[in-house]
Amino acid sequence: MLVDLRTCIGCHACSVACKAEFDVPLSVFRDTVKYAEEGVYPAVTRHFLPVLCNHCEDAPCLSACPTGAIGRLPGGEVVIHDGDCNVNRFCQAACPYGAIYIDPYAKVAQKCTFCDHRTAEGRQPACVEACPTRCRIFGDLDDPASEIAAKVKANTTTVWKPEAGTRPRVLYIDPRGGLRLIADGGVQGAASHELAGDHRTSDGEYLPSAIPRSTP
Amino acid sequence: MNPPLPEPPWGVTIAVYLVLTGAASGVALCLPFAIPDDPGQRTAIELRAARLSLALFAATFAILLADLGRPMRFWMMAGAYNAASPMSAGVRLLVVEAFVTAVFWWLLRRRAGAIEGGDLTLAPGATTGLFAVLPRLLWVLGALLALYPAWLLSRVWMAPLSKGFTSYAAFMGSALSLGVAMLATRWPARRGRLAWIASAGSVLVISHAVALGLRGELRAALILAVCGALPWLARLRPGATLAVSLVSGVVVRAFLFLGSMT
Repeated sequence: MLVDLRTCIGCHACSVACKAEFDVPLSVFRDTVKYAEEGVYPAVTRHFLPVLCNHCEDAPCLSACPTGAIGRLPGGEVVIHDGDCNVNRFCQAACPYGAIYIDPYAKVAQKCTFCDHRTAEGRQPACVEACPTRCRIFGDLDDPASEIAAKVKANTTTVWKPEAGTRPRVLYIDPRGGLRLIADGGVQGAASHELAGDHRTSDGEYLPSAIPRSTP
Repeated sequence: MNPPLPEPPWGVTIAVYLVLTGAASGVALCLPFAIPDDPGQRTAIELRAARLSLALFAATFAILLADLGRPMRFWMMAGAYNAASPMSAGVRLLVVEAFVTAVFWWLLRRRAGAIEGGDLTLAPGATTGLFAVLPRLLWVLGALLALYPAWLLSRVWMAPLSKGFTSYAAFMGSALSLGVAMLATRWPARRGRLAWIASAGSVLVISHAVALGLRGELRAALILAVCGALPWLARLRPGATLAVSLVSGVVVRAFLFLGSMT
């Protein structure tokens, strides 16, 4: 996947589409948009940074999983097979992108799948389809005739946290260097970062009217 | 406005697990140095050590099961194998070490019974061979079990103090401290020798503290150095070896896991 940060407007259509596609619970994310501000008034910039699982070629989660629940599909997507997950959370601890969460209802680790159920039918991932500015392009980088290959060839691309050495397959066009501002961040936010008004009961159940505020 | 890291997926339960595995591996590592010269006492002491190890393994499995939530989840981990996963290797080490300890305990019980009946010599054969092999096997497995948390934590972002080759030394050193603490009360006659082992553990922990300090994480290095040096200081008063080694081993292992440089 290629994300062109020049055209992202931070509307969260991708986040909402992903939530709807997979019924992702409150407070956790498969796909979201981080905001990062830079500079001092009046020279201030706000970056919109869509983040998701990077489906790394050297995926730390894949080599960490002791039960073999995490595998790679023929197209390169790294996916979690729910039935084999024993919730040891090593994948979460190993992923430098914080892309994996434990579903509080299903009690298994989950993350972005690049919508493999949709792409298998020739459709686009939900986030790509929902993006109003077409800042996300999904396709086969090895196919020189594909739109993504052409755009990658025509632009300088980078990845999130290159120092992690995971060879991510989510590429970014980031001429303003926004990704370095979230070098310490993850797809999931820390619950302790949330504002007053916890949206869970003491039993850990989510309140119906809850609105997570940890991430925009 | 940088978004913060997600909350660490592992917490105190896993810290306790690491301390318990350190204690179990420490017993296996330190036992050969605690056995008295008198062959008559050897079986009794090995039997007590095997019982202690089994109790530690039982507690370790209980903590693991409590963390995973259901026993079936543990068997999912034991039934599959991923050669690249430190957790997969660690679970196997734990199961094999516990099993070998149980076999050794059973053999020792039989032997103790025979000694009580007046038979002070072992008949040649397979059992004699097992008595020669099993303690060595337990020592090797104990060493691997002492080191494996360093491999495990080198793969996670939430334990920055466990990075680098010297973290293996720190985990080995803390296992030795815990082993000394487990054995020192039961065999006071060997306290002097055990205290020297605790001192060796101190050197290993301090080597990691020095490595961290050289990289700039001075506060963490100081805490580790002070805690790691406690068993060496206790060597001056052997009576304090138990408490001080226990505190040192627990603090070092927990700090390597839970401590943060930020």
